[in-house]
Amino acid sequence: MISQAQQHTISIEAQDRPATVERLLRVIRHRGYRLCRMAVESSQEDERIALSVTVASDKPVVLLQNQLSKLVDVSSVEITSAETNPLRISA
Amino acid sequence: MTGADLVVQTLANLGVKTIFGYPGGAIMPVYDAIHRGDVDHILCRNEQGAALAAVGFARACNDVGVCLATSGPGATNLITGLADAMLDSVPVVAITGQVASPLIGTDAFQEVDVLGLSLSVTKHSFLVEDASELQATLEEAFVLAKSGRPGPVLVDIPKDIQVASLLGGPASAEAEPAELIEEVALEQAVELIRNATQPILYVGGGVGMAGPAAVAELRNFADQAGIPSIVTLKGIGTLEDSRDLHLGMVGMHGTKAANLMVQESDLLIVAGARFDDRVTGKLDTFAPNASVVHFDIDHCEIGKLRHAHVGLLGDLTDGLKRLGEKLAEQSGADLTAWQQRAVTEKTNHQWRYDKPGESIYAPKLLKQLSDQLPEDSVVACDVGQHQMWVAQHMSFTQPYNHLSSGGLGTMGFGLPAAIGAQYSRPNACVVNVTGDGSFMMNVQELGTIRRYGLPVKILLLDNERLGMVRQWQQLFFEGRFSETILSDNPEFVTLASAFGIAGRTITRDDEIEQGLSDLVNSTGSYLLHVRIDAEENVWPLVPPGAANQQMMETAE
Repeated sequence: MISQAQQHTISIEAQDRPATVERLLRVIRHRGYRLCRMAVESSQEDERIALSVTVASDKPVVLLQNQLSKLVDVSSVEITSAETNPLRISA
Repeated sequence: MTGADLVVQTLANLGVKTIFGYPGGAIMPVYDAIHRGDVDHILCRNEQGAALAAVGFARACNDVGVCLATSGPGATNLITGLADAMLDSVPVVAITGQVASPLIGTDAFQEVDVLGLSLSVTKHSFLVEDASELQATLEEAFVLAKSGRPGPVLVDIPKDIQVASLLGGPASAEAEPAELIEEVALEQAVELIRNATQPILYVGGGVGMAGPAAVAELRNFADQAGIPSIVTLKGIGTLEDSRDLHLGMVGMHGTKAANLMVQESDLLIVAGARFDDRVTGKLDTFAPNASVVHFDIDHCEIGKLRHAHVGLLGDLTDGLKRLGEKLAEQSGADLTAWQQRAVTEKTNHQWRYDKPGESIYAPKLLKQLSDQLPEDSVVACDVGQHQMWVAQHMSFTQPYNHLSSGGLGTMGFGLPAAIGAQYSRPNACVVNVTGDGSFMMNVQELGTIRRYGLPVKILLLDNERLGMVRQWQQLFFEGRFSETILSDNPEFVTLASAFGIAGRTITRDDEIEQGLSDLVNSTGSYLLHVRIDAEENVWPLVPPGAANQQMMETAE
C-alpha cells in the first residue's frame, strides 16, 4: 500500500538538456515510485539542473538510485532522507 | 556543406557503410545528401522494417546498426524497432528528421514530439537544437549506443539544421572501455565458487555482446572450472550444445535438464543475464538454495530481481580470465557427482524426433535444417512457437548466428532482421524462420528482398494459427480460441512469386529432405512453405506462476 510506503528524498544533479526532467520523472514512475514532492533549480550559465525529489514506494530506494544514475545526463544521485544513511553513486 | 551533408559524411567517417531507412518530407535534405554521399542506403518498405533491419545488422556483427526516417509517422513506425533494441540491448543509432525548429510545438504537418516518444524506448535521445552541435551529437550517439550496456540512441534533427551551412571535421566514436572488475569482488566470488558443490553457470546475451573475446574466455572458463552450464534465449550459441556439461536453454520452454539442475544448484554464476521472468518462472522459487555471483556491465541489473552475494561489475573478458587464474591456484570442492548428474540428465532428456505419422513435425524439420546449414549461417526467427522450436532444436556455435527477439518478443522481427544480417554478413547463408502469423507482420519487406536481389531464405511454418496464443488458449483458457485461427491465410508461395521469390509448399514428412535442399541450395531468395499440425504445442512448458521444475509435457 502506498500509504505505508517509506518516503525518501533524493538529490539529483544533471546536465540541463531537452527532456532531462521528463526522463527522470519517467524512470521514477515506471520503476514503481510515487512522486510526493519535487523542487527544480536550473542554471542557464552552466547548463546544470538540480532536483530534489521525495518519492514513496515499497521497493528499496537504492534500485531507483541505480536507475536514475544510469541516465546519460545525470551526474550524481544522492539519497538525503533522514531514515537512510546517505549513499552517493557517481554516474 | 549542409547539415545533411555533414550527417552523411560523419556516418561515413565513423565507418558506417550501410543504413536502412525510408524517406519523407522532413528528412529530404539528408536523402539528397545520401544521393551524392558515400553511404549505401537500403530502402525498406516500412520504417519498422528499417529499424528491425538495423537491429539484425547489429546483432549479426556485434556493431552499430543505423536507421533513418522522417518526422511524424516515419518516426512512430520506428518505435517498435527501437523498443526491440532497447529490451535486447542492441546498439542502434536512429536518425529522424523533424519539422523546422520554429515549427516545433505548433502541430505542424507530420510533427510528433519524437524526443518525448523516444524516452522509454531508447538508451538516450537527442534533439539537435543548434547546427553547431550536429556532428558532436552524432558522434556521442554512436559512443553511447556501443558503450557499457549497448542500446538504441535516437537523434532528431530539425529540417532547418539539415539545410544549415556547416563545416565538418574528422569524426570518431570509440566505445568507452569498461572498467575492470574490483579485485576484492573477484576474491569473494572465488571463495563462493570453491565451496560450491552444485554450481551452475547461467549465461545470457551479455556475453556475446561483450564480444568474441568474452565468448572465448567464457568457453575457457567453462572448460577449466568444469561447471555445468545453462543459457538464456539470447545466450544461445555462446556455449556449444556439443559440450557434455552444457544443458541448453533454461526457462519457460527450456530443456528439462537445464530446468531441473538449476533448481538444485547451490551457486549461480551469472554472466550477462538478468533473471528475466521467462527464465526464472516464479521468481522466489528459482534456484531457491543458490547463492549468486553476478557478472554484468550494468549496475542496475545487480540485485534488481535477485540478491547477488557478489556483484562483478565491469569488463567481462578480463574478469573471467582473472577469475579462472584465481580458481586455478587452489582446488575447490569435488564436483564429480554434480558433473555426472549433469551428463545423466542431459542424456536422459534428449529431444526425441520419432513422432509417428506422415505429417511434418516442426522440431524434427528444424533439427534437419540445423544439420544441413553451412557452419556460419545466421537464423533470424520471428516470435511464437516456431521461435521456441528454433531455440530448442537448432544448434548454434556463435551467439551472433541466432537472432531472436527476446525481450520485446516482436512478431515481424525475423524478415527485416534477416535482411539486416545479410548486409552485415554478406557471405553468410541467412535464413528467416517464421510462422504464418509473424510473417504477415512485416511481409512488405519482401519488396526489399526483391529490390536488392537478396538471397535471404524464408522457412515459413504454417499451422494456420497464432500458434503460441492458441497453445495458451488450449491450456489456460479452456480452449476458447479467440481470434487465433488463420485458416484464411494467403497463398504464401503465390505471394512470394509476386516479389520474384521462388518457393514451394511441403506437407508431408517425406518431402522435408527435398524441400530443405531446395531452400538451402537456392542461389537467390526462396520461400519454403511448410504446413504443420495446428494442434502441435511447444514442450516442455513451465506454466505461469510455477517453479521451473514443474514443467508440463503434455496437454493432459
